[in-house]
Amino acid sequence: MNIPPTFLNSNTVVLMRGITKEFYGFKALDNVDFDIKKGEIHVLLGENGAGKTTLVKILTGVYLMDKGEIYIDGVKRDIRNVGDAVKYGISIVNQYPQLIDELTITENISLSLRSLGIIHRFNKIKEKIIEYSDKYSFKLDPDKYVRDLSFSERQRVEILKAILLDSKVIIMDEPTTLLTTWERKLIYQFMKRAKEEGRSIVLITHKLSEALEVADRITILKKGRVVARLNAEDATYGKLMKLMFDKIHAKTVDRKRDVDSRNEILRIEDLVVLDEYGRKAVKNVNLKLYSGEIVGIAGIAGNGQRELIEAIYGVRRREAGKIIFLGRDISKYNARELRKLVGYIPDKIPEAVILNMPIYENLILKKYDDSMILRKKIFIDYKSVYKYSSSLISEYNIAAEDPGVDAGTLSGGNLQKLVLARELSLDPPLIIAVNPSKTLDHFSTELLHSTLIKYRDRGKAILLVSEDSEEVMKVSDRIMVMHEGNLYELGSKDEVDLGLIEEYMIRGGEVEEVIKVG
Amino acid sequence: MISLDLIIRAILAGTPLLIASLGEIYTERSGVLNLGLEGIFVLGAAVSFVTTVDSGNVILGLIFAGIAGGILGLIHGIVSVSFRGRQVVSGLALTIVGYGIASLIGAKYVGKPLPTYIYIGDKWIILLISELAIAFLLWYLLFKIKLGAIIRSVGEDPISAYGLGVDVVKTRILTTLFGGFLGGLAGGWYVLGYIHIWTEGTGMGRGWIALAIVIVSAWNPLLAPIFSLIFGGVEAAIWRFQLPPYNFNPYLLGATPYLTTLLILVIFMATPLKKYFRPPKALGIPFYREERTI
Amino acid sequence: MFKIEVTIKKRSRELPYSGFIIPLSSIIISISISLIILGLYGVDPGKFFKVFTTALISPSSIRYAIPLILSGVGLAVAYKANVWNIGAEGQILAGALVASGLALYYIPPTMPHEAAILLLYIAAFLAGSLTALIPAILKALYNVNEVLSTLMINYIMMQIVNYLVYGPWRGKKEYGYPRTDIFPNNTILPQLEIGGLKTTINIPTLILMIGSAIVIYVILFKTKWGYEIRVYGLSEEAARYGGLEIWKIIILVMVISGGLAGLAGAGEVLGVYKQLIRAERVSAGFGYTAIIVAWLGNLNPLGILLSGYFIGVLVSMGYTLQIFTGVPYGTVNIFTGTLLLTLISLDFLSKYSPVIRVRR
Repeated sequence: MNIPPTFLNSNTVVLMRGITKEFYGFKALDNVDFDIKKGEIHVLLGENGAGKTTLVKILTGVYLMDKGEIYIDGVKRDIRNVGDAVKYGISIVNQYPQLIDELTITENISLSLRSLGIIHRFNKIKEKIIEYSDKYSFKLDPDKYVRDLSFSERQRVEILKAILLDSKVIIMDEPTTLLTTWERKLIYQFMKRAKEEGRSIVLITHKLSEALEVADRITILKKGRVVARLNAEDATYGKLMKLMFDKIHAKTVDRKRDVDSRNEILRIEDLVVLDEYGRKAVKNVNLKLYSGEIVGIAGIAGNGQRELIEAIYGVRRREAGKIIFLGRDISKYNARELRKLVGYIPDKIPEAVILNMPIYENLILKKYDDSMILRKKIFIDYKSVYKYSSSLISEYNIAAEDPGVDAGTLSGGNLQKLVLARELSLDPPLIIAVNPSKTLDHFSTELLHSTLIKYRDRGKAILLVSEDSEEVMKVSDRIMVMHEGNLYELGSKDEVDLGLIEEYMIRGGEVEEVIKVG
Repeated sequence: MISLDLIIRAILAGTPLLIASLGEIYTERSGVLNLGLEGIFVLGAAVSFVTTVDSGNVILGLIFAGIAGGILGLIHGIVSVSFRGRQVVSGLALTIVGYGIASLIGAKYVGKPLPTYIYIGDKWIILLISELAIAFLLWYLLFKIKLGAIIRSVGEDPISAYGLGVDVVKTRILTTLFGGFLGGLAGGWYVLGYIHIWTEGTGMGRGWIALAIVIVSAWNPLLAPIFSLIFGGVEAAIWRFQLPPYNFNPYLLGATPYLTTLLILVIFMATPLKKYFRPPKALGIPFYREERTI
Repeated sequence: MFKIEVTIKKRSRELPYSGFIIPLSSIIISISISLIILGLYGVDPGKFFKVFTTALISPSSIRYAIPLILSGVGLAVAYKANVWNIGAEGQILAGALVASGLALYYIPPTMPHEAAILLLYIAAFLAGSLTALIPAILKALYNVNEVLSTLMINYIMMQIVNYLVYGPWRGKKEYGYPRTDIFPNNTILPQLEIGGLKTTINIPTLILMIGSAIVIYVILFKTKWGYEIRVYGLSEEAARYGGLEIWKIIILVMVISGGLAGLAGAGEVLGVYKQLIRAERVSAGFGYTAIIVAWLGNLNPLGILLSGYFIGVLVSMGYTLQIFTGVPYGTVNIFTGTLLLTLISLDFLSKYSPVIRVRR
């Protein structure tokens, strides 16, 4: 679908034409046209995996496109890195802000301002930060360290950064998903003011209501293609629904749970776990997990999920409480035994894969001390390891020349398959999966989800921990939310909606009071 | 027992350690560990001696010592940052090279007297004040202006720093060069401002102690003078205890600086003190930017 | 204006034969660099090559290769685990010191030769291990940086040995020189004879050296312990999440590493000097040179047999150069250091390929 001439006029700041980008044979963008006008709020609407983020990453120089052209103010430009984009006045406010924890707000912002000399003493920039922070009611203390900021405050730092870079185009990637109502209003207010100042805003979202509330124009992406371009006046809720989805959302997961014969796999009682700084990261958490179910724990990063999982997996000490796994306290297992009984699929690949080791040696990380693989109790039988690896590679469809290549040469999706192959081949009663959709492209995420569901249907228990509320909603049978170290059980999939999960992610236990009082 | 004389000696002995550790603090704050500091120090000592004997000018001696150290620092930067060689191996290799060049260029100068040197005498108070001033200045640059923010950002989180537009590779190479320059200068000062003689092996071991000072100073230029003074004090005390009425064995006393270093390291790491100093998070970790995200 | 942009891509496989090409080209590059430096210093390249070729077939090269290979193999075990043992120097001295003490004061002259030697080797191995155990425990328990702790122990061991040879152990028949008396006959290692001439190569340590290279090769690449060592060395996180007992790995590699260096120390005093001498001469920096041997051999014990011999040639050449040209022995360090630097730089090029783009 090409841009019709009516959309092009002298007000066009950015024009992207025929943009195509492939990831490992999967077409993330297919001949996409996109334009931005001066002083407008342009909403880029689409489901997860529709290609919205890929498109703006190309515009901001994070990804290089395979095909296509970019015009800025009518001139064809080559954007090869973040610096190029900034030079042309394009900034992005990331969904997960990329800032340096150990530096203050002022220092972080000053790093991206090329115009500041290296002997700059922060005085002027600090004044400006205070000025703009007041202007948009951001309430930021420029001397605060980023490590002490909340999620929403970090996001506001990124916005200030874009403003101070004097950006003509500010792209905002799902900025409001994890914000409270008040914080959300602040962002809308900011977008309107920025528009009045002559800047253009590109808002990426999957929320129809948000699009209708703020947009001047809407472009809808589906499976890497533009399906519609409309002015806000022409858009209605029903129309957008029709354009975005082929059919009204069916339940993605059919559940086949035999409630009577389920066994308790994991029971956690009053668990307390400390973080690196000795603070309580997990506060008296209780949890039961049965065979044949997927329990999803949603939560914004840094609310104790990491510490909780690490305690279950036995890499972090408990301060108090009980973790009963298969009827036995986990302290009764030795480390190797526990690792074989719990499959672990982390979001950080280096925790699971040794990138500079060949695939076959990676595949035996949990098996190398099994009597199957050893001869005379100490010698590893590499011939049979090689054979075993080849069979896993073909079974899990890992794209590798042979088992002897380094794992580091595999793509992200294939690395994930390698981890899955290793963990599932041990047939563990419990699998822990962390943020699968955050690190993987759409295609690999789908594959992982369906693998997990199949595994559950074999009567295994799965604990899914994710920052993505939609993912939790889509895959889980029971849904919980972790907030500031507390774990809230919201109920089964049918009793919970996305809005409630997000409310809990943002406000935790306060939600309960609101509900009770209201 | 603690006489003024001893304190002055501690300051004199501590000065080269301070100079070297201040430079290394900058290097490590940017995420690069330079074990070549030992060889740089030894080379700086030899270069300053040779230059000063030939030219009769201590300033020239110090400058050349700094340049020699800077060159080794630059090599370490290129090998370990651009070529992503293991920092420990590259550093050790440089130390060995530094030893080698020092013994080669100094061979014909062994036993020659220094025509001139830096005499501190009763101006030690000026030395002390300028040391503190320099330490303060380096602290200020590191924590109060943008330059420091750039250096710390690549040492803490190079990937985010890159995202914010910092040139990680250039920054790391330049701080390593700077650390090398100060390391060489420190070696030069050790000969010209403290011991006033040179033989093969002069300065050996000082670089390691400077590396230890960096750790116990928690990578903070303001704390470095304190620990440099402590290590200088140990050296001064050794000298004192060899003399009557103590007459301690010089070899056993010679082990004390190293034993002290080991003990201080253990005390810092094994006690709650550990919480107060956090190494730069990306120290020793090479920076990758490949066209792929994992 | 054109701008040249260099980005780097990981190769899917290392360059073919890089295991040979890299060490070989590093040797060539570092020889060239050293020749330039020596040339500036007025050493004739012809003379350099003559000394070099003589050293290639000299028995003294093997004599120096023995301690270098023994310690180098031990260091390779530690480096495979990413444990930075820089303390071979001190561990060599510990082995030498304990072997000397036992030989001089505790082993009765009536003890059979074989029994005495076996006992001394075991004691030296334990001494080296114990010296390495201190930094290992400090690292395993408190995460004390092992580079600094092993280095500090090197200097401490040096001072202790010197204290002994200048003080309580100084020989009564040595005219006041800082060295102990010659050890009793039943504790001295037999030396190899070539054409009726005695060399300084001692046979038992030579056998130990070859044996340990083979055994360590098998342990590292064929057993579950070697697997654990390599996993921990390549990724501490993966080892932790895989449930490996990290403290055991640290202790194991340091004990092996220190023990082999201890054997090298015993070989030096019992097989070459036949007495304990000043620390700077017992080990003469072999503990540091062994680090280069280990890396030049690509941390593979069989490769280390070759690299150790090569560095042995260099050491032997260094001493000859000093005698004939007056170039100080320490100059060899320029060569070995440059060798290591070029080695790790070239290693990068074998794993990554630079992609050069020209853009406007």
